[in-house]
Parts: sequence; C-alpha cells; structure tokens
Amino acid sequence: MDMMTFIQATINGLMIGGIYALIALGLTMIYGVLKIINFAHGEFVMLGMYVTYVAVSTTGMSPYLSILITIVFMFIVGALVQKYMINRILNAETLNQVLLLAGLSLFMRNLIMMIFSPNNQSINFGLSHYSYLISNYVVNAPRLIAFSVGVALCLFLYYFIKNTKTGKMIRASAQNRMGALLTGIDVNRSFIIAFGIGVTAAGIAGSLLATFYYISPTAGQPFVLTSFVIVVLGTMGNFIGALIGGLIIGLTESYAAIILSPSMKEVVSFSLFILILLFKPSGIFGGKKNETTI
Amino acid sequence: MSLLEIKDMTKNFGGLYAVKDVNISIDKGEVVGLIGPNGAGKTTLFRLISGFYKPTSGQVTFKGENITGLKPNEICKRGLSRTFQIVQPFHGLTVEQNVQVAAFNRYNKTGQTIDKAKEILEFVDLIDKKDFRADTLTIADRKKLEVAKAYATEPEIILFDEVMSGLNPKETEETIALIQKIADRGVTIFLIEHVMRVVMTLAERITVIHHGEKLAEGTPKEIQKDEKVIEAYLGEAIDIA
Amino acid sequence: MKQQFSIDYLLSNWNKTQIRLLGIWFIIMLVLPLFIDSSYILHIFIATMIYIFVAQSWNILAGLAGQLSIGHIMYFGVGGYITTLLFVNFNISTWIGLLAAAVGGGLLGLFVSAVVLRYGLKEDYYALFTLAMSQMLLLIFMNLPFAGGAEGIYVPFRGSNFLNLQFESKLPFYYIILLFVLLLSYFVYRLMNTKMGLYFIAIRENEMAAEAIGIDIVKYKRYATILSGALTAVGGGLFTIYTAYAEPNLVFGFSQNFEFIIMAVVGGKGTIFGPIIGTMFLKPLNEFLRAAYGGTLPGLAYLIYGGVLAIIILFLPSGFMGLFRRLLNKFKKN
Repeated sequence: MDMMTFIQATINGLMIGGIYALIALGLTMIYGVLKIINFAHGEFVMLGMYVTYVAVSTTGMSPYLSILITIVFMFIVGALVQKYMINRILNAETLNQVLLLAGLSLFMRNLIMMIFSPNNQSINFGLSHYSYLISNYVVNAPRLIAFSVGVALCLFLYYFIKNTKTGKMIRASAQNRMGALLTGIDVNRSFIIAFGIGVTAAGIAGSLLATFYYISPTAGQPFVLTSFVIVVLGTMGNFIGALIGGLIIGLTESYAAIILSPSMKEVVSFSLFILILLFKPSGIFGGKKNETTI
Repeated sequence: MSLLEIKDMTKNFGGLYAVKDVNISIDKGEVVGLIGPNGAGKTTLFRLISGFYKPTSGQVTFKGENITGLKPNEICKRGLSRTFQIVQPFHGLTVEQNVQVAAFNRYNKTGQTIDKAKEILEFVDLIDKKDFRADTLTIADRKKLEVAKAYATEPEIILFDEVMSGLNPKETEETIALIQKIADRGVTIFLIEHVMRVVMTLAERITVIHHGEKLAEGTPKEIQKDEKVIEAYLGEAIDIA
Repeated sequence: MKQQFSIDYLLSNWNKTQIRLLGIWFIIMLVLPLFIDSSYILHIFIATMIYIFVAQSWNILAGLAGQLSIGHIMYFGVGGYITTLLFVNFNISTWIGLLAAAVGGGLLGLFVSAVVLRYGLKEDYYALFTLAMSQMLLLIFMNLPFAGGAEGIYVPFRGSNFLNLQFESKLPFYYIILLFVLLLSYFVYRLMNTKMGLYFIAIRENEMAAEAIGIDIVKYKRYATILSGALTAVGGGLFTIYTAYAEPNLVFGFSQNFEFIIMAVVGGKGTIFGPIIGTMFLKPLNEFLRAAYGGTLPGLAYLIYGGVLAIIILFLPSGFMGLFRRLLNKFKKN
C-alpha cells in the first residue's frame, strides 16, 4: 500500500487502539488483582454503550456528559457483582470461575436483548459526523476524542494504582492476600474497588464507542477476544502493557483490514495470539515462568 | 556408585540463595535424615531433586544417570518418589483409587493395580477404609495414604517430607514403624524431619542444612554433639516429642 | 439383594449406581416413542439426545480431566461441516463422514494441545485460547465460499438410507442417537476405571500430586483433548445431518457453545449421569421457552440459561448429581 494509505491506516489504528487499551486495562486489572479472567468483560463494555444510548436518546445530553452516569452506574454494578458473586468463587476451581462469568455474560447480554431488542442502534449527536482534516488525513472527531480519553484514563489509572493509598492497598491485596489481611488492609474492599474500576473502565470504553460504533446486545463480544489477546500480549496484570498492547493490536488490525480485508482483521490478531502463546506466553513484560511450588 | 548424588546444588531466587553448593550422596539401602532449622532450604532441596524446581546450577545423579532438569513424572518413573509436607490426596477418588493411580506407574491393567492397591493398603493398615473418599479421612490417615501412594509407585528411593508433622505420639510411633518396614523391604529412604527423636531413631546418617548450605554430616550421635548444629538450633524450639 | 439397594451400597458404588440410572433412563427412552404422537415432540427428544452426546463428550475433557475447554463448540462445528461437506459434495455416506469428523475433531484437538498444553502454561490460557479459536472458526467459515459462507449448507434429502442416516420418519434416527448416547455414557463409565480415565481424574484433582506419582500431565491432557474433540465432532456431524443444515452461527455460535456446557454442569460435571439429567431438564425447557416466547421476548431462553448457570455455580457447583448424593448421605444418617 502507498504511504498515504499507510499513514491513514496508522491513524485509524491508533484511534481504536486507545479504546482497546482502556478495555484491556480493565481486564488486566481484574486479572492482576483477583486472578480471574473476566469473561463477561465484553458485556460490561456493552452496558456502557447502552447507558450512553439511553442517556442521550432520552435526555439529548452530550454522550460525553453521559460518561459520568456510566461511571457511577458501572461502578455500582461492578461492586455488587464482586461482592455477591465473584467473592464467593475467588477460591473455587478455575472452571467454576469461568462458568460463573460466562453465565453472567449470557444473562446480561440476553437481558439487554429482551429490554432493548436485538437490533442495532446508534446515536447521533453534534460531533457524530465531524471530521478534522490534518494535512491530507481524515481524523474522525468522535474517534479522536475517544482515543484521547482512552489513553488519558489509562495513564490516570496507572498513576492511581502506583501512587495513591487505595492503589497501594489494592496492589498489596493482589500480591499477597494473607499478608495484606494481617497488616489490617481490608482485602475485600480492595477487591470490590478493583473489580469496580475494571468494569467501569470497560463501561467508559463502551460509552466512548457509542459515539461512533453501532450499539447492540452483542456489540461487546468482538472486544472480549481482542482484549484477551491484548492482555496476554501486554502481560497479564501489567497496565502499561495493556496500553501498549492495545495500540499494537489497533494498528495490526488496521493494517490487516487494508492489506487483507476488513473481515480478516480479527483473524490476524488471533494468529498473533497463537504466536504469542507459542513463543512468549508471558507477554512483552513477562519474566520467567513461575515454578511450581511444594 | 551411590544411588542418589547431589552435586554443588544451588538455587537462587532473584538474588537470594535458598540452597547453595550442597553436596549429598546416598547409597542404596540407606536411611538418611535431612534436618535443619526452619527455612533452611530442606524442602527446596527436595523440590530440586524431584524435578519440581530447576536448579540454578548443580546436578542430580540417580542410578548413574543425570536427572537434572527432568520433569517430576519422568523422575518418578525412574524410581524416585516423594511425599508432600502438606498432604496431597486426590479428594474425589476413594482411598483405593488413590493408590491405584500411583500403581499405574508400573502396571497398565486395572486388575493389576487393584491388587497392588490392596496389597499396599494392607501394608500401611488402611485397608478397612479403602472405599472411603479421600477427603473424608483424618489427618493421620491422610498421611498414611500419602506414604501408600509414594510406595505404590514401586520406587527405589522415597523422599519423605516431614511425614510426622501434625501427628500425636502414638501415630508418630506407628509411622516410624511403617517407614522402618519400608526400609526393611529394601527401599532407600531420605527424610526431612523436624521431630528429632524420629530422625535419631530411623536415620543411620544425618545431613544438616542451615541457610541453604550443608552445615554438618554424620551419624545421629555425632550430630547431636556437633557444636555448629547446636548453635544453629539455639533460639529454635527443638521438637523432642 | 437388599444389600444392593441399601443407601450405603449406592453411595460407595456411585458409578455403578449411575449406570443403573442410565439403564432405567435407557428403557424409558426406548419405549417413549410408543406414547408420542407428535413429530415435533419426537424432534425435541432427538435434539436433546444429540446435546446429551455432546455434553457427555465435553464432560470427558472438562469434567473428568478438568480442562477448561470453554470454546468447545469448535469441535462441534468442524465435525458438522466435515460431515455435511463430504455428503453434499462427494456423496460420501454419513457413517464415513462421521468417522472423518472424528478425525478432524481429533486433529483440531491436537492443534489446541500443541499451542496451549505445554508445561508451565496456566490453565487460564487454555480457556482463552479455546474461546478465541471457536470465534475464529466462526469467522473463517463465514467467509469460506465452498462451505456456503454465511448462508451455510443445506443438506439435500437423498432418499431413506441408513448409510446416510437420512430417513422418511424421525423414528430411526431417534433410536440411533439413543444408542450413541448409551454407548458413550457406558464408555465414560468404563473409562473411569482404566489407567487413562483415572489419570484424567488425578490431573483434575491435583496436578502436582499427579506428576509426583509418574503421570505425564501434558501427554494425558492432550489425550483428553483429542478424545473429547473427536467425540464432539461426531456429535456435530449427527446434528447437521439430522437438521440437514450447517451454518456458522448455529454450529460455532457463542451461545450454543455454552448450552451443552451448562447442561453438563447443571447435571453434574465429572459424573456419568450428570450430562444426561442436566440436558433432559434444560433442553426441553429451552425448546419450550423458544417456542412460547421466542418472538415476543427474544433471548429469554438464553437469559434463563445464564441465570441458571450462575446460580448452580454459586450454590450447587456439583449439580443435580451432587445434590442427589448429598440427599442420599442425609438419608443414610437417619
């Protein structure tokens, strides 16, 4: 492909990569802290989409304003799910954890389908069709904003987890539950906050996506798989890895869509996934594999 | 040629030496004890020998073959088995099935392994409970099951990791007798023990580890008198049991 | 004889007890068609039994060996397509087609094993990979022109022929699938007493302890994957030939994937009779809900599936069979 197409594809890839990064960040946080893979993560993205959809279509508010609603709503949902469901299976066998989240995802997806119908929706607002023209390249306004917010949030969460007191408590609980308990840290609360933040990140990504992407009960699903690939690529539990991984995958898919065809882009990310699993399953930032103990 | 030879065994965890330049040699038929204060590196050493850890450097030779870096199941197939300090039964299986699974290490037919399992269970005196689910057993019985499983793999050497922990005096006596029975059958024994009396009774030779390094080696009598050993244990409550 | 029916005996020979239940179930299903007039109801039971077959296949990998095959439908779809493509394009008899499906499923299982079953790789990766793989296959088959693409393949009726498993009436297929289910369930029963079956269970229960007694866990996980993959593929072939239709969303669908997993889990994973009782309970329920509310409340059936799965995992993780066992234990105490 020629240089122009390449640069345009790069721009597009980075734009979506920012959103991917945010979704992946939520997933990697949940994995890093609770050691479970949130198979319902795509549905939380979808929930965020619908929050914005409902807010915008009923009140006409700006979708960016609706993000505030998304944050509150998603955090509450996340906290409740963590407290009454996830908490019970934290020490269960992995298969049961997977199945619980799968059941939850099925439930959420079909609940939304029943309430809103399986049809695609979309929202139209001021900026919907706005695009900037930077030299010869088209930059769609909602996508640019989504990218910026996405990356900003990633960095913000990274700062949060590294430097704030709550963040440190969460990290302590993640690294050593027993130790954290013994030093008086409310591990349960840390887990609730961590899970809440994780799904809220997904929800915000959903709200951002709603500004330019189609909204439907199954719209979250493609992101599940892609975010798995990103999280593994960027190393499970690593925030910067999620950001970088998100951008890489965004770019990869964008190039693949041009070089091969749009419907093949997931095949490319997936092939990348296989390669990662074959050669460096611990991801970009992964160290040596852990030893078995006892 | 010794049965099991550990040469310059070293394990480094990110700068911390769990085990450093340890050399141990065990001959066929011996009963050797491994003691040392808590955190000395004894279990780490067992993990290194049985393939659960890869050494940073050093070598394990078993029956003349270099088994360093082999997977645990490959090592078990060659005749080295171990028990775990925290017992690891197969909860969802019966006692008999637990031992059966171990017996498949040498036999392929179900009939053979059932016979072998019955034989082993008689040997460890668990035969009455053969149809009990493993998770319904008492601690003492679980320990017996742990021993049964290791022995059912028909090993030439068994590494016992603190088999006596959590047992009352009577149970300890029974277990000492059990291990002695196994030794009498020709199985080489290498055991980690915290209960001094057990080690002094069973072991012909004792190796002492401290801070990951070999501190002393000798007969029980020699070890009891060794100043370095006594000093290492000072400040440690010694389990005279 | 009385001793054989005492609660003690039933409990300590749990597998034998389940085989008896299997026998009872078999006899009931054998005579059931005599009491059914409606072709539709017969269809529901046939579909149910196909699902039992697949649930039982999954059970071998996930229930017995404890492997997180949650994208398991990939084998189902592959088997379905192999069988139909061979039949439709080359007129190859279904029985051969099912054999080919088994080979295809087995090879796919081999591939999955090679990528994720390596030593030291966490089990989470197995789950992720199988899920990704199943969705990938969906996309691939959607874009494969010779496989009908998004439209799928319609299987033409080429006359009543046992070799093609096509019949004028539903009855012959009913009995054939009943036989398949019986044989598979009996196979699982026997498997649980062999070296391989017990090794699977040991791996599920405690990988570390399993290794310590000589089990090559990678090898046996691979065996479980291949075996289960092959069997599931056969189930897929039976399904597509019966429904005379192979379509990507149907045979690789995300929701369909969880259907038989839920059935095995609700019934009791790792048990012989669990997949049977779970499916017998859920599949007819699902059909009923779809018939009754499909138009007005789309997604109700799967909503309930999701809810049931979550509730079972939270409160009754060992499923119906686990509950049954607990009740027997309670009776024993009294």
